Amino acid sequence: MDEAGAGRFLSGYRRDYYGGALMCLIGLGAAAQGLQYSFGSLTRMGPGFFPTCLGAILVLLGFGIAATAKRPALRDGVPDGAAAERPRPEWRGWFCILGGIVAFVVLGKWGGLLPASFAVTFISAFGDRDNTWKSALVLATTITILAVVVFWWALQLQFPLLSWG
Amino acid sequence: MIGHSLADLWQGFGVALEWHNLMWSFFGVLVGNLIGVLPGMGPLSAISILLPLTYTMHPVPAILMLAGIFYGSQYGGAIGAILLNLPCHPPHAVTCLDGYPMTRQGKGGTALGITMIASFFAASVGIIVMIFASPLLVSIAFKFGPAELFSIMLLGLLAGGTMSSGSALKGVSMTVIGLLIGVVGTDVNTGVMRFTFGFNELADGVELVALALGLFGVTEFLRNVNRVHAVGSGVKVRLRDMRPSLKELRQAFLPIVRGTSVGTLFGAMPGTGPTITTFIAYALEKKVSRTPQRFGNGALEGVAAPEASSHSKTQVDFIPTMSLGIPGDPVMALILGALLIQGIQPGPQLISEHADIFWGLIASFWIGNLLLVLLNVPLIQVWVKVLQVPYRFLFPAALFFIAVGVYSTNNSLFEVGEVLVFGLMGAVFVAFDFPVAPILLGYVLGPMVEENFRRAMLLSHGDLGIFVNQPISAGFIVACALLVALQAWFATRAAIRRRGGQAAAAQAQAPSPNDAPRDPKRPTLVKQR
Amino acid sequence: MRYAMRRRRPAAAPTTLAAAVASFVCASCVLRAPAALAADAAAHYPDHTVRVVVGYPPGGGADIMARLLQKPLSAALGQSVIIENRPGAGQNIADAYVARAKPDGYTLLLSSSALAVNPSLFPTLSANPLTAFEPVALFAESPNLLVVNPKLPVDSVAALIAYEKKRPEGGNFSSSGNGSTQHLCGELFKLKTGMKATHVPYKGSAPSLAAVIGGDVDFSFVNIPSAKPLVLQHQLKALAVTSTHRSPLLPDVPTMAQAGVPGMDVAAWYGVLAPAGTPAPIVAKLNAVIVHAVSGEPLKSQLVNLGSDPVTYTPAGFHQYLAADTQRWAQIVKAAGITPR
Repeated sequence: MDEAGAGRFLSGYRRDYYGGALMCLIGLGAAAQGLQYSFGSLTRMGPGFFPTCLGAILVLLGFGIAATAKRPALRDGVPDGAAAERPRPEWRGWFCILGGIVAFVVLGKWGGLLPASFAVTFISAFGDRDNTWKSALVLATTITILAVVVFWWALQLQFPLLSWG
Repeated sequence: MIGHSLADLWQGFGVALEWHNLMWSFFGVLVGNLIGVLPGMGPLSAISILLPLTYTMHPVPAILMLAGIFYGSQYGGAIGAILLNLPCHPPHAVTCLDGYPMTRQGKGGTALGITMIASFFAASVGIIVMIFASPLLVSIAFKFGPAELFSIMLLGLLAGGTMSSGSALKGVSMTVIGLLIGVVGTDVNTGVMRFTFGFNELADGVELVALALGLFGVTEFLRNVNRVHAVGSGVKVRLRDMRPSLKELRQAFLPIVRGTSVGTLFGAMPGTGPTITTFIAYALEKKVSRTPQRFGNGALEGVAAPEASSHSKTQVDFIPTMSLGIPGDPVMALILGALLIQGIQPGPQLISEHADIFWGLIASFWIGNLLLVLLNVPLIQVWVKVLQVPYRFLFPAALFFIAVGVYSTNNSLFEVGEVLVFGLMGAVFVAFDFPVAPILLGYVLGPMVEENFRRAMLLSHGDLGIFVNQPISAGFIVACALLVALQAWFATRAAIRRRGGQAAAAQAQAPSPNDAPRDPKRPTLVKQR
Repeated sequence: MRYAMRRRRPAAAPTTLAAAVASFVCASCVLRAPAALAADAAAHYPDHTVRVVVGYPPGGGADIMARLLQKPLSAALGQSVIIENRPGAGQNIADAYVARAKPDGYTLLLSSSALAVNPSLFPTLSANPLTAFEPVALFAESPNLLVVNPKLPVDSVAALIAYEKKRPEGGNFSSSGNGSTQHLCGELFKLKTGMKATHVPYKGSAPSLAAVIGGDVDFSFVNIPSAKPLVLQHQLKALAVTSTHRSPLLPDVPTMAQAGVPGMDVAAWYGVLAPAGTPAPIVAKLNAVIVHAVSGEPLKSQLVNLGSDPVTYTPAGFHQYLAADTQRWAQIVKAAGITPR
């Protein structure tokens, strides 16, 4: 997908249409799960009453959003600058940020505070194209030292520096 | 009566200004402020860390220190919200909505200055209420049974659901998503675990801090990575913008007053945290304003009112704890616990048996708030410099602080995982042009609405009339109905008008804030490749 | 480590006998080693920080107990004692965490009686209290207090029962949550007296107490220290305590048995447990330390001020108590018709 194409995928009409569809999907899922719990009645609500109703409302809202999505014909009136401005997806940045948090959780359990702090900063720093190995390393090391001094020593955080499982 | 209270207050000042007590008060305030700046680490963590210190202390400095941590942490939280769109604590999430756009316009310092003033004013009012109106507030609080709480929360939901700029349908659907997230956990009335999918850690629901930091912090990073050079770049921060001008002060005055009233009123209500009051104050400001379209784009009122409500609520929160021994929220419960360990039983007899503690505490609130203002105002310049730090260093560091902060809340790595999930979710929603703030509103209000409705039904044995039979509840239900009717009226009128406008020459619909450059006057912050 | 190693001259003995002897000797060494190791560990215990895990947030009942115990424990053991809060799922998360921890005496659980109730409420999610843990010391028992809203025209338990029975749909009573001891006390009360009352659960003991004061519900079983000042100020009326003897904090209030409802001496308790497999000498040492602390000042009067009775049990005694308690709560849960989840 070229830049303009990617930008145009999630713009205007399509965006609202699929957004509405997303809401419908979530609403259906919630209602389905809610029906697993006992429903009850309005005056004697069971645990499933509220979530099912919410799910139903969400489905309705989803339809509403999709229905009021501006039709493509009307959208053409808008200067195209709006669509082309949309930047391209930042897969690298997104993977690194999410990966950094995953690393924190995993290394927090099998590793401890030291590897976890280092990992979250190091990995997420790579999300930015301007960061080199060296700058990421320096940042991660500084943060790790900060973690030990401020959180582990001064604030007595209950997180072993090194642990396994 | 008033004279008596004033005399006691004077004595209280004497106690609070004693060198020893003052020192500990200052220490607590300082620690609280610093902790408040760290995302995720709330007063709860700070107080439980410093609690062992209090065992060997005399009760007066001990409680002064702990209280200082509590309201001190409220001051630090707004800084991240305004400058980085990162609410360090859930009550400051709403401040992001207008505070961050103000920073992007170069007015970050002004926003911070107004926040300080709002905080001090609100805290002062809260203290005055504590002194003179405690018994009144307590008796009002007991008049609020489940029916009243339901009606008020419903009004809050309906009012807040339309608080975000952009499509109303999208705002409401995000509120509903928030309501659904609030359902996760153990059902209070039946003990059934809902939407937990076998995870024991979800039995008490999703953690508010994880939700707020995920939706506002991680989502924002996902949105900005590789697209922003530095938050403050391209915008010259003039010295003028560090301090609020007289005009801005005048603009912020009434919102501060309104926000304070909201916070004080809710302070009496049991079980409501400061987060709810911030949403309601914001929604109120938007409804009352003559130019509601400015909200979400850097309206000063949108920063002043929520902060004021949060601070007054924090102060007034002490009332049920001190006068009845019934804590309003977990932090109060901890402070209560600290008092119990010292052998002091908070309750109706506290004022008479331990007058020095009660009045010393109240006097120290004022002194503490003053110290905080003096501490924070010069620091505004320092914080604003943070904006100049390149984003590529800022966001990994902030991510680390978020992870550690969320972990420290309950010593749980699962909750850090929750941050991940919500960050991803928020990013997906933002890509589809949904506003993220109403999710938090729904999450906070939803459980209260459902819980109180069902409880009211339990108490009335199934009689729906309980909502209209009690005067307070009836009043709020009528307000809800009016609100819905007004919204419907305006919507149909706008639709009719739009139908007529479409028949005329094609008029381009104004682009929503997210798919056009934020402000043609502001330089774009896209990185140059 | 010294263990007797008997060697025999293998000279004239048949090889099978020698082999048997050799294997016997090896076996005894292997069997003795852990005991000897354990004895050694106990002698050195503790040589670094001990963690006490609490399944409630800071400020909750068990948390306060833990913090009260922290100082004397740390002083007696000569090492620092840290409180680690791991709240969630009615203490199930903390239970699971400690049950999985290394049984070396450095990770302990400070538990409330929820440990005995949870297996009946969450059969699949809870750790079995008798097999997953090594009971160390039970140190406090906390009875509940039956309170009513002062506007109700009742002055005694008998009057309350009569009042409730007169109401066609029964009254309401509040509790701090589904499955809490307050709830189960209420259900037991209903069973023993045959009255009808709707249970209205709240999130925590503070709103539950507020509900009685405000008059939303008729009665509730609450914990004594929070209720005492309110009783003294006549915002609540105390009718009875659920223990075998009167509370020193409220000596005018009769016990449930004295008020005419026998068999209701159910109390919440607080105790310390270690993961299963913790060596007996370490358990014994901890028990001795805790018993000593609880029998002396200031912990003893601190506990009394919090409405609890300081009690002392041996680890074996605690084990028996726990078994009996788990059994009893299971019966109450079943009789009250509370479905496990």
